[in-house]
Amino acid sequence: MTLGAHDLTLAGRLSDVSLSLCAGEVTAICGPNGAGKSSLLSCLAGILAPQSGKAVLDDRPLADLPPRDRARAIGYLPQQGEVAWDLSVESLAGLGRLPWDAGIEADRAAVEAALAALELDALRLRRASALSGGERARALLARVLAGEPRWLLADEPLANLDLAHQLALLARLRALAGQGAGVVLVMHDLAQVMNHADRVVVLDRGRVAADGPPETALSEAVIERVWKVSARWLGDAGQRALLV
Amino acid sequence: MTRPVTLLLAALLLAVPLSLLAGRVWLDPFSGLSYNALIILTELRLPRAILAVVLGAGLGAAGAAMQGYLRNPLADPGLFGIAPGAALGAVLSFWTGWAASGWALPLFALVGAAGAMALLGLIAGRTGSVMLFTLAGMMIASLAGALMSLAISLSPTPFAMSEIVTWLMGALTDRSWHEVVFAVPLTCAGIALLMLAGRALDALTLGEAAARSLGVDPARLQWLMIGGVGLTVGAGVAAAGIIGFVGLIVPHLLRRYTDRRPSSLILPSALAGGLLLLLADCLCRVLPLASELRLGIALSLLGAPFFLALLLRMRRGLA
Repeated sequence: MTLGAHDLTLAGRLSDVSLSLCAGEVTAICGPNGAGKSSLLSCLAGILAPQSGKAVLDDRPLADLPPRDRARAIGYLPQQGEVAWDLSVESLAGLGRLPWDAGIEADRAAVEAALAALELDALRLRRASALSGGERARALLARVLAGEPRWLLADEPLANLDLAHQLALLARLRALAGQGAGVVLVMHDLAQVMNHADRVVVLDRGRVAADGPPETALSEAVIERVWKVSARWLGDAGQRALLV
Repeated sequence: MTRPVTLLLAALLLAVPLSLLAGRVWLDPFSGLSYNALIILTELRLPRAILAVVLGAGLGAAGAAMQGYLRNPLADPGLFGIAPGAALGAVLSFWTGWAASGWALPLFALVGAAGAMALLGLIAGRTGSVMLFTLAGMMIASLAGALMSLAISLSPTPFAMSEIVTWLMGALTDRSWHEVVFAVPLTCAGIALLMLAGRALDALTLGEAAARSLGVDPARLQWLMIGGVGLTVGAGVAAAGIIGFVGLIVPHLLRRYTDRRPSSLILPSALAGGLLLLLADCLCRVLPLASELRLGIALSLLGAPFFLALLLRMRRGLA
């Protein structure tokens, strides 16, 4: 199973971006602000139409897929965690089942599994307005997981989480990838990316500046070229820290 | 069936028969109904009660759907410009003198509503953008309002002007089976379209991007909203004139008794809208005034303080 992009172009945001992502991997999309990370993720999720080029799922253009088929295959967590109405955590997670017509029992089982995976059982009846930033971020991710997508695309999912919950979430996403799902994350913390991603796509001004395993895609030279920052990696594989 | 739906259904089943008895002339069901009483019941009060329940249901459902679509508890069906469009059509029927002939007034109003719906669809196009849609609706409302004022100021006779102004106040006075025949099927069709939009409105809770990722087709949702709000509000204006605030008050009052998903609010809002309009109409009938209080005025008198209270509560929340 692959999710890919062929010559994606979006005026001022993306320019001839091509890549092919594999299921079973955790892929991180990195880059400075304005590099086009969120735009690329939106195109890969099929919710933003490129001006030219195409996003493909298993060699089929996303634009040709019926919206609900696409929604069942690709779960997308946007950067803005909007919840317009004061839903309970359980109802919020239940929204992830909207693309499905699998019956009440299957929906309930999927929601239960998502809540359990993110340790939200005790909060299931709590309203969104009463959640902390981190709890809210987990509840929104539970919504995506409840949809049982083959691909999970999340835009800065770690942004509102404390360190312990960041690590727990990354472990959960790693387990998801281990079960065969594709995980694509927009991330800013390069140390987290280095230690947890299988593959890194670095964007710079709408173009792919580096693509590969973290050791090469996030080399000190790439960081200097793309972020304009002199930095040095410390520590051993899996426990790297970035000294700036 | 959820608890609010059960309670509202029970309240409606109780209120409808009682509303048939209430009015300037109270009917006593236990002392046998005279011929005149039977005529009042079947030709005046029954169609009026049916219209109140159905039009109120349409306005309540449209309000719930609108608030879900715009993700704003202050949204009202009037925002789309369809009610002013329908009212403009009705005003033109008075202006041209056609209103006197049977079907012309509702027909003109429905054409006005359809014109506003078409314009809305044309401007918003296939983008599915909620913001563009809302702005287009506000522009149409403003244009229709201005044209209505122009028509009133250029009224051919003082009598026509008086007719227009009175009609615009909204009422169910003197309505008959004539109005029931077109308003009920159109409103029911509108409510059905709004209920079809329920799942998409639920997804929209998470914002437009997340809703698209959940398989929502924004253009389809937009057409369902145009059709649903157009039919319910258009039929309402065609049958009874402009009746405001039902679509604002009812969903807001009921939201706390649902799980807050827009789809779970549409049916209770329809039932409560019907109940509210029925009770308000009864109140208008029984108030000891020289002439019957217009329903539109009564609901505005009720709705404006409610709206103010809502704003003050929001202000406290922001402080």
